[in-house]
Amino acid sequence: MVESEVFRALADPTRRALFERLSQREMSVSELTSGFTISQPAVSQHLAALKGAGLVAERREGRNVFYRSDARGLDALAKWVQRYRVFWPERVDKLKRVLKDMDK
Amino acid sequence: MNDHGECDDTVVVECDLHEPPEKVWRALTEPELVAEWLLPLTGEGPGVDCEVIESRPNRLLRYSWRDRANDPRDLEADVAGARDAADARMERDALDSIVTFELTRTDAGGTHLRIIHTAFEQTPAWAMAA
Repeated sequence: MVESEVFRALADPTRRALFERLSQREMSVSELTSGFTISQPAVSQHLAALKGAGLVAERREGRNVFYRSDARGLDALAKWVQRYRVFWPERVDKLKRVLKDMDK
Repeated sequence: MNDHGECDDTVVVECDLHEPPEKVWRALTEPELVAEWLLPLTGEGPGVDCEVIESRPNRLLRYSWRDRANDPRDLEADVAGARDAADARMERDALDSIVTFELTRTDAGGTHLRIIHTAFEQTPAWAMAA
């Protein structure tokens, strides 16, 4: 999964909210739309973007389509978090040294 | 993903510093000091672009943090027309996040520093399920 695609898809607050809702359980578009103030076509458009980034998977059952979040798409996000979990403590150690040497 | 079905998209680091908030604030805001411990916040080359969003001296500093993903394919990018390609690449790989520094004076006269780095701004209420 390309990290930047996942980030771009999740950077939109509405898409993130939809993604989070779909991580609770599988839903149809109309079911998903019912909890939001935006229109069904808008929800469909956001779903397409999430699908494109590999964050949402769909399942067809007759004429119905159900969507659920695909947690594998979150690997990129997990990597990002992991990177900064290491980054910031290192920087804080450096900051402490800078503070000690200031105004000397 | 955490237990609440939310994305785990935030890193929080806290520490206690001996120096008072006024001094820590300088280390957070004076470019030559920032360059010594964090990174040069301006200039050329790969790294991070920052833009201050909120600034309350000695208390809170918040800026956008835009880093470029290290995509190995970028290294193979055609050198010819590198200018446009580089710009396009930067656009594509820029990941916007928000860094917040919270400074609180401790009883001992030092500073409790809390660094919050979040991949996305919080979901606004209007977008949430009714």
